Amino acid sequence: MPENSVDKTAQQKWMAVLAKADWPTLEKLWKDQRNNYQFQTIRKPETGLVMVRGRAGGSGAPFNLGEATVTRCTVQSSAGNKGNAYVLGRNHTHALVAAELDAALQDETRNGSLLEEIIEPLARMAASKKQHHREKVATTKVDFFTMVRGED
Amino acid sequence: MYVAVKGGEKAIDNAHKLLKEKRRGDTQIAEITTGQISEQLTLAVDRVMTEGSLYDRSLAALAIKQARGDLIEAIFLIRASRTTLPRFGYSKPVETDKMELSRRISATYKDLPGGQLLGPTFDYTHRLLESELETDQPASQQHRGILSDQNSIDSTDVKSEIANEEQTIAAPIIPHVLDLLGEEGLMEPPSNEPKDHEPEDLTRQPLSFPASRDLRLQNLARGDEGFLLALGYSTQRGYARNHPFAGEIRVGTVAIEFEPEELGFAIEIGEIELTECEMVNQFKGSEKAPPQFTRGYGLTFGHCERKAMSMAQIDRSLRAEELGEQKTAPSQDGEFVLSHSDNVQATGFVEHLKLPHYVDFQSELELIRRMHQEHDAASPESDQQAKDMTTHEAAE
Amino acid sequence: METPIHGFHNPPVESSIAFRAILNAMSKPGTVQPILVDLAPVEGINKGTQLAALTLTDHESPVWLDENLSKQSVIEFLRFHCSAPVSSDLSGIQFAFLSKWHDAASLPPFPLGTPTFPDRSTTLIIEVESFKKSEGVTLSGPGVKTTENFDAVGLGPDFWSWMQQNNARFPLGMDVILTTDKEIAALPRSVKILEAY
Repeated sequence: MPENSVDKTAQQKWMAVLAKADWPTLEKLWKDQRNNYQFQTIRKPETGLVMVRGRAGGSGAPFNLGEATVTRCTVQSSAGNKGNAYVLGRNHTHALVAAELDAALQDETRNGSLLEEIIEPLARMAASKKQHHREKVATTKVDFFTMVRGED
Repeated sequence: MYVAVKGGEKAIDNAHKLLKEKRRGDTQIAEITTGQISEQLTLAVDRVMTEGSLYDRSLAALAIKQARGDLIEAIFLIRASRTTLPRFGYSKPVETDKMELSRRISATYKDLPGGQLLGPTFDYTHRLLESELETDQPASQQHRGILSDQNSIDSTDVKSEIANEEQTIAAPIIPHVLDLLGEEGLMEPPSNEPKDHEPEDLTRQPLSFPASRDLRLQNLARGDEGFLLALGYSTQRGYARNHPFAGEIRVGTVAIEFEPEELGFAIEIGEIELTECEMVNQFKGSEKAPPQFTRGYGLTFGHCERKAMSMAQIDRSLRAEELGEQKTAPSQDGEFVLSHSDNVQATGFVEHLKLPHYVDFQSELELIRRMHQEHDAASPESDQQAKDMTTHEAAE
Repeated sequence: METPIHGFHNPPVESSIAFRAILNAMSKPGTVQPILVDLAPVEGINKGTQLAALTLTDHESPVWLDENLSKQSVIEFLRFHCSAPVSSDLSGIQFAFLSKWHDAASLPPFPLGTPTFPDRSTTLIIEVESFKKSEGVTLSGPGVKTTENFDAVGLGPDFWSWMQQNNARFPLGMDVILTTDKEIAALPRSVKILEAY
């Protein structure tokens, strides 16, 4: 097994879902809940770069492929939880919302309902998009036949 | 040598105004949007991201628009833009065996585990112009993707819409074709260095020779597609005798994992599209290694198949020395290839020739005049020339 | 519960102002540069040290902390705001933070650079109590027009002789930034100490 597929913590899972979330959907889902919380911004959304690495031969030694834009943000909830976000791209509000939700989700009294109402739907939506994509790609699956050549 | 000049501000301002006007073109026609570029000129965006060495679709689209479709100018704009941003760190190496595939083919096995997926490809098209594309289609009113048909969606719609969908299914792990041969001992390992080798970074240290393989791969990944294509072609035509098989080409999305210093654990920060190519080459064997297949590797942002294939060819040809092959062709010369692959550097040096070189040229002009005069003074009258030449020849 | 907001509030502008202060200090040895950026206090380090850390360090610059500074608040500040890895591998240290000048003997053997790459040396960031212009030593060298009088309260007795030895190794050697809550000053390796105590 690749080294980073070891069991992820619940927080790593929700942070991944939030980073990869369809932004308009995330925005709408959070809008209804946002008023129940208060946050202080520790680090305003800030765009920078992460150097993406590949591996020679797909599975060999690492090399630097090229950079990607990333936006990060840190907030603190009124309950004192620090929420962090690192999100590919330059959408500052996405990073802010992801950080707010990361903080909110650390509050045990709210965790269950937020997972159910925001994280799980987003995860299902992403899965469904992937499934849809997979089905379309599967229609291009091909079987090549080798033509037998004649005797002469 | 370049000597600075002053003046011309007004002309330069006006030239830039004219450039803006030319970029906009006929105002009777709607202005192209960056969204249209990013959705419909996807392969141009992919090339700009790969050679600009920055994954950001909307920035690449903006650069293409601003550069009036001149992709090398757009790549230049992207390279300039990335220098203004702070670096947060390095990602974990992407795991292409976990790629969510949109295409995967092999020219070496027809029945490979996981199957062959053609995906969206120009292969097998007849290269006939499709005249129906000349007619613009209006935008669809449907919301993209699996959501509701309505234009506006509120959160309850979203919830009910996605509540029925299935639970996450992780992409199946699809092993690399070449690793299957490796299990039989017929394929060399993917690299000589260990999996936790710390690679060099040419955006941090200047290139020096001989360059390590990781540095070569980084250079080739951002190298000019045309340059690598021509070099790759030359290896097939006999300059390096390197006729390979396309062992596997895959296109799809992978997750990017990053470990921020302050968190102390890795998180997925999003997904990007990549193209990967693995070439298979023959190898007779040497004192150290038995006869087996060797490999060349190509990886790009987005869908840049031609580039990934050329990159894999050149990755392999640059390993000539390591594999004890005779170095006879340009594609095997690391210093030649790596020093000339970058189109931003290349265009900078070539295009600087159009900048004022008045002082330089004046001195050359004076030199030529003087030499010319000296030559005239030394040479005899024209009617004597023929005779002189014969005596010169005789003397020699 | 309000936590003070650390770090730069407007990074592009404030880091430029801070960089200019450090550049001025380095290029004009012995001059005292005011800190013109508003920084919230961090337990364990003064504002000049904060300024230097925020401006000069990042994920590619391993830093070293002396015993007094090895506090959770300082480490967290460096991790979060600078992404700087705190390291004990001396050979890679780019910035060493000292709560004060202890003495030359207890200074760890940080890199001094190599003849090909003299820049690959450690920069020392040392906290002092205050700066004085009237007493102390006389400086000369690159960036000093004639001579400059300089002193900092809180430097140990053997600091200036260490600086003289440091200069003797030029172009190798360490550069020094001295910090207080209000000001910074710098002593690059090129500075000559004319009159030590």
